[in-house]
Amino acid sequence: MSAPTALSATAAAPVPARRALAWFAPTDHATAIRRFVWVLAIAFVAKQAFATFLFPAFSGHDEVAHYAYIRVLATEHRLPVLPDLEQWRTEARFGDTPSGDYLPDDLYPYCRFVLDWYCEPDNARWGATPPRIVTVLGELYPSGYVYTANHPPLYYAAMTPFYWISSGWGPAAQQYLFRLLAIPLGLATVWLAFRLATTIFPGDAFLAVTVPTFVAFQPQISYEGAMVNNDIWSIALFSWMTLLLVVGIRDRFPRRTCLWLGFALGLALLTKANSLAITPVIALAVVMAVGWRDVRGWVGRGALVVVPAAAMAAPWYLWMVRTYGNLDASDQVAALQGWWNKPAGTMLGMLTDPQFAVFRFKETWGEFGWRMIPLSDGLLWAIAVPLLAAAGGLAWYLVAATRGSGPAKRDRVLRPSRWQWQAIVAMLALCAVAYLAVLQFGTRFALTQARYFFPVVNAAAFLTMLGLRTIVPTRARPVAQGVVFAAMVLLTVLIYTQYILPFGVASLGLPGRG
Amino acid sequence: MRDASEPGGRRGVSTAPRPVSETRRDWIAWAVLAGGLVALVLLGSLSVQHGPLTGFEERVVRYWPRFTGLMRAWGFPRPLIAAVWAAGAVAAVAALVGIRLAIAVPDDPADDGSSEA
Repeated sequence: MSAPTALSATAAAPVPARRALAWFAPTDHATAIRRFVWVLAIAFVAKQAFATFLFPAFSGHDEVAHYAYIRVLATEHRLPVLPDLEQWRTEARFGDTPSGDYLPDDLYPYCRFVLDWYCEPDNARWGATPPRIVTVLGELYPSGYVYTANHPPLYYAAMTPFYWISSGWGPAAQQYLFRLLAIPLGLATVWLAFRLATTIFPGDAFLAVTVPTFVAFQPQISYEGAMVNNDIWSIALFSWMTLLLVVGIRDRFPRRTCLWLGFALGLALLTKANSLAITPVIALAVVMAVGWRDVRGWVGRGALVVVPAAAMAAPWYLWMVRTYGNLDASDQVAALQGWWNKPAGTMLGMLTDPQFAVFRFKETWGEFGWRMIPLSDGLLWAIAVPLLAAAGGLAWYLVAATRGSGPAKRDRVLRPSRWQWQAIVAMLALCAVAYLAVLQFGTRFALTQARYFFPVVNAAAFLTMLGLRTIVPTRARPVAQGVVFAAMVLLTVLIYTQYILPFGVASLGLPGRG
Repeated sequence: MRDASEPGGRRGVSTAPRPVSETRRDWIAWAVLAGGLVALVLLGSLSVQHGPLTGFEERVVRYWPRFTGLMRAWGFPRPLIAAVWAAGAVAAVAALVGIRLAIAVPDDPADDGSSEA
């Protein structure tokens, strides 16, 4: 209780200081959250700009191959193509180097950040003429090809004008430009996380603060948001679709929302093929919101989503069928990687393998692209313990909200309405489907990885913070908001200081040092 | 916990001047936060297990400044190095302000979304 005779510190302070202090004075929810979101956005953009230059050039996952794709599109005005192994071998047996889309010679110094490029950049022969053919157990394979060629073209087409603008800069400088151009997509993802939290539970300070904070400082999302890659585009578009799903559930999928959802899905399918994973959840959400008995209702709404998405994505997938005979060129990729690739396991085997899950957890918080920067067990446990507590809190939330007793009587978040329940179910379904997609990829490829479920980061952040909110006492929530923010900042500082900078320093003596 | 109707209360909308003791507490909280961040950077530097940097002086005094040398070795021009450090400084200040603002966001008792269902 403020004493009636207390002096006003702000009144006594000089004018600029008074203004600065006024910024932190208690105010209403709308003003406070607006200020917070602005500061979070500034912190995010500045952090990302810093991170862009902290990671050695081309050290991000597949940055060399993404850059090569952009170069083919910008300089030859066509899409790159994966080699057909049998045809390539026939040419290799009778000629010098078979024709095809290879990674540029001037990027050979970065070969250790590339899949399938025989890497000896200090060797005089290979340094002068990078290898294009390797022999494995008597069989010929291409070395250093544009292995991203089966990716849809939207990201690369968007980068092409910037390649033209910067054509005189050299590859490393262009790469930094492309990294900086990823930041707006990361920022959009953070803003969509804020919108997701405030759409499902408007007015709740804890979720409005912690959900976007979690996304803004999650180390791997930050990493994707400062790299040459189409993943952050996929993450941003998936996050937009996630928000549209929730808005659709709330408003029973009006025509406008369905069309926006179809448009976003079309863009996502033109960015990365794994965006297809959201389609069963869209179907589930529409049926939940409209009611399964209203067949005409959900078929009509489904058509409003599917038709624009299919119309937008059709040219690309037709081109894929004409070029490769299938929709994703996975047969061609499997053949090219045949000398080292093997399935990571069966669906059930991977689902029940604790080591598989632990490795995905490590990749979610560290490793950074080429699995060259593993975090220590101590730090991983420091991350895992609060996350496990949040998972327990989420289970507690589901039970308490279902019963509607005890603290639920006083807490509106613990009394979700029907549509809010459906939104929570959709978030759970998104996370489950994304993880199953990781497993499905692993049934054919050894290199399945956590990165493939990053598109559901906003749904995962929402559920995590909902769980954490449940176990934090009401009175402690304002402080907990600050603690979550501080913890994510400190995690970033720790990772940069303990892992990323030493990696950069250590890489100075190695090939591909930037 | 303060009552919602009190000035400075979590759910209240305060227009009243803040007492000196509360402002002083604020500044102490700021100092603790800033000190905590600096301490963590130092601790983080000390506990680096890998890389070529060894010894207290190398790790603590010259660790982050070494980033400048790293950027020079990568061929970055001087204005870019300055811009990178400026971005880092802005991020650090914004992070500190963000922690304080995160605590200051109150619930909105008027809006629970139920009317939009």
